[in-house]
Order: sequence, then C-alpha cells, then structure tokens
Amino acid sequence: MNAMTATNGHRALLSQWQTLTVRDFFSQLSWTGQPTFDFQFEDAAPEPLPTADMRLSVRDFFSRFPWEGSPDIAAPMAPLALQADDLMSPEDDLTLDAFSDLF
Amino acid sequence: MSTLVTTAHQMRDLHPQKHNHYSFRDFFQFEPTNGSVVDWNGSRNVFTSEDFIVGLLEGLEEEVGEASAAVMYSIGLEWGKHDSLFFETWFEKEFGTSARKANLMFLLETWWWPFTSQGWGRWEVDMSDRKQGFMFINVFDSAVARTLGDVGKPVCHIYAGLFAGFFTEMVRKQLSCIEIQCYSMGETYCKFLLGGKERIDAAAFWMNEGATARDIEKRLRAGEAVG
Repeated sequence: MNAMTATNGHRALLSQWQTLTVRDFFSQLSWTGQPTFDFQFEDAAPEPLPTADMRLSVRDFFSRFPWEGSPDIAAPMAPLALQADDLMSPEDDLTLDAFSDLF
Repeated sequence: MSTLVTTAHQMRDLHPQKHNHYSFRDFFQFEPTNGSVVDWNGSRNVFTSEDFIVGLLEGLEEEVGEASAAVMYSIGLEWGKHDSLFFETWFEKEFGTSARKANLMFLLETWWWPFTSQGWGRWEVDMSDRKQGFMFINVFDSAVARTLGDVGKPVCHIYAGLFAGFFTEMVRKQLSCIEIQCYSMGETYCKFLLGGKERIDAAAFWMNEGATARDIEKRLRAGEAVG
C-alpha cells in the first residue's frame, strides 16, 4: 500500500503532489540523490516539519499519520422501518403442492 | 458425485438435530479402512478431479458426438428423479415433517445445500415468473463449466437434467430444463430455464436461432411460443 495515498476515511493528507502529472511527479524525485521535491503533510502533524520530504525514515514518516484521529465519515443512518411487504415475499407461504399447480 | 448407497454417518447419529452440518469436516465422513466417503445423509460420495470431468465429457463426445449433451441430460434426469425420493426421505427424517408441507424456498435451499458441499456450486432460484409456469435457476461455480472453461457453448447438461428430474418428481408433472446461459459461453454464471416441455422446446429453438438468455426471457414473458 502506498502510504501517501491511503486516506482510509480520513481527510486527505496531501494535496500538492497528488495533483501533479506523472511526468512532473517523477521529474521532481531525487533520482540523483539530490532532493529537489519537498512535500509536507498539511493536516497530519500539528506542526509540519520543515524537513518533511521523501528522505524521512519509515518511522518518522508513519509517525506523522493521525492514527488516533477522528475519521471523517458520514453520520450513521437511522434504521429503516421495515414494511410488512418487505418481510413477506410471495414465496414465503408457498408450499410444494401450491407450486405444482403453477405448471 | 454421489450414489444412493446408504451408510451410517457417526456424527449425524450423535447429533441428529444438527442442521448446520455442511462444512467439509461435518458433512463428509471418511472411512479409510474401506476407502469410502459417506456424507451426512448416508449417501456414498466419490471425489473426482477436473481431469476426470474433462475425460468423461470429451470421451463421451468422441463416442457419440453431439448426442453427448442428450446423454448427460438423461444421466442428470435419472439422477434428479432418484435424488428427489432420497431427499424426501432424509428431509422428513431431519425436520420431522413432510416435504410437501414445508415452505417451498426452505425446501429447495435444503435440497441444494448438500450439492454445494459436494462442489456442484451455489445456486439461486428465481421464482418471479412462476405464475407464467416457468422459473429460472442460476448456478454459480458450476463444476462442469468451471472445469471446461470458455468453450463457447452451454456445457452443464447434467445440471439441466438434474433440475428437470428433481422438479418433475417433486411437482409431479413432466418438466424439462435447458441451460440458456453458461459460464462456458463467457458469462459470469449459468442460467437454467425450467418449465413444461413446450416452453423448453421453444427456448431451445430460439437458442439455435441465436437468441441470448435475455432474448429468451423477454419472449417468454411476452407469452411467445414457437410459431
């Protein structure tokens, strides 16, 4: 799983790099070992680290996810009231003998 | 695949009222001493490989050509007739009531569960057209179609025969069945039409003319018959 794209019901963590084209994204990667593309979490950490980029260690990278945050999900729906027609399908009271008469 | 040799199933004897017995371990009783497998209802089962199914169907086709479909249908028909009698016996024993007095959908689900355990696939019965005198049965994961793969034509003739035989006995009227859509035609599941002989003959005619399952459904619902 790509941690950068895993929102899992939370608000999006990133926006800038996600809107880049494939060409722009890859052109800004540090292919030669010289970082040129910094990205920052906008909502994950209280104070985004100025050095937050793809050079972060795995531990630091994942420590910035709001693991305990409140998920941004839809409010639960009230249970739907069942109608009598929903409970009884036409087949519910059908026996083999009644079924035989249909052929 | 099963035969009607009845043998004791020890777990069933211990728990005669247990209805949820369709897991692999519960349903089958392996008897290594005499090399047999008996299911919960006392029917002897034989496990076969996909190679066996391919060999059976291709061998039969080599022997009798296109008549192999009719042969497989006839095998299924006889099997279904026998199984209806067998089913009525174990249903009454397990549930303490006659199959004829039971709720129809419950009865049908109960009939098919052993087949699901045996690997014949899951099913869905569509009764919405019952008042017009026909019904559809959908089979998911047909053992035959799954094995043969996409061969461009219906292959589950034994299933069609099985449904025709079973329902003929249960309904006590001569019924026929035809597979109008098959996994082996590139569809996602198999669809069978069950009804009186005239309707099934009409469906077979339309299929030969190139009609799809959807076409056949429309024509039947419109009350069409072969002209």
